[in-house]
Amino acid sequence: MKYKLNKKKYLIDWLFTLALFCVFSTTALLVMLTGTDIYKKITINTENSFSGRTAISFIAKQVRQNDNSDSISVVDFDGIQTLKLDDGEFSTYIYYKDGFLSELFSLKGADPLFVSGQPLVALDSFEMEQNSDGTYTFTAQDNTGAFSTITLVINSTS
Amino acid sequence: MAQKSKSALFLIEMIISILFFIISTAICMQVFVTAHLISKKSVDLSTSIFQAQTVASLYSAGKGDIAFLVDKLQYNENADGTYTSYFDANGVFTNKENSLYQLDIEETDNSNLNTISIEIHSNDNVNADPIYILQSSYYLQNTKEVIDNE
Repeated sequence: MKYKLNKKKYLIDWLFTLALFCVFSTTALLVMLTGTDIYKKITINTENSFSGRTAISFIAKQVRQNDNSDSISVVDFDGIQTLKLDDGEFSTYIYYKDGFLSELFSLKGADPLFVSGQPLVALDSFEMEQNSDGTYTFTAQDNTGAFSTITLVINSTS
Repeated sequence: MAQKSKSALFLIEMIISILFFIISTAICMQVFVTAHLISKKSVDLSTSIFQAQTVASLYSAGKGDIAFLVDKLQYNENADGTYTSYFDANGVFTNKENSLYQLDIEETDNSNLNTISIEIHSNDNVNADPIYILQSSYYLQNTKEVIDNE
């Protein structure tokens, strides 16, 4: 009788430990999965926001570097909207082609060969607009579909 | 006695294990939440900086005339003479209901140097510290009287 009771007690002890281990493992797995999911979301969000914001910051830097109304223009080359920045004998073209914001550096007056441009960041879309009040508006759409936009003014005239 | 002592020891071991597990989970959750908040704060800051720069550019394009900004960005004039506008996560100026951020402008008229202070708040808590503050000035070269008379 005593032997039977002891055997039953051992079984309950064993089952309790096993149940506790199962609860422990399941919760640990859940925490890990949640963590992975959050980490993945943060990484994707950071990478995508990075592309949109980087594109806009790059454009802002380029426009400010060439802050002269005679040096900056938005030109349409065979359907490709291009920000043209003239600096002495050379011109820099910034444009959106094949899913990338690209940059091309070439001789002033030469026909731009957009296929030779350097892709900078991957974007879903990029728009540039020269407004009637003398400002320029740039809008980048990153791979999550979020937009980043900035309006810049040219302060100097030559 | 020995049996009782063994059970108590097992219980203590279990309690310590669970306590350790709870503490680890709490730390993990705190790390995840902090990472999420930092990520959100970073997006808020970038969006706010771009919008503040846009407002500063338009202020400059309007030659330091606040009326130009008010017309462009659908500002509401407040009773205290400041201006408020709203924009969403994509940086599009919109009405208060669809917006995520509040943009306040206060103009300081100081002789020939017109200055605006741009403050951007999150709509979740407009009384909290601003996400970003930018001051923009426009020097009116002997044209102040002309603008005032207009």
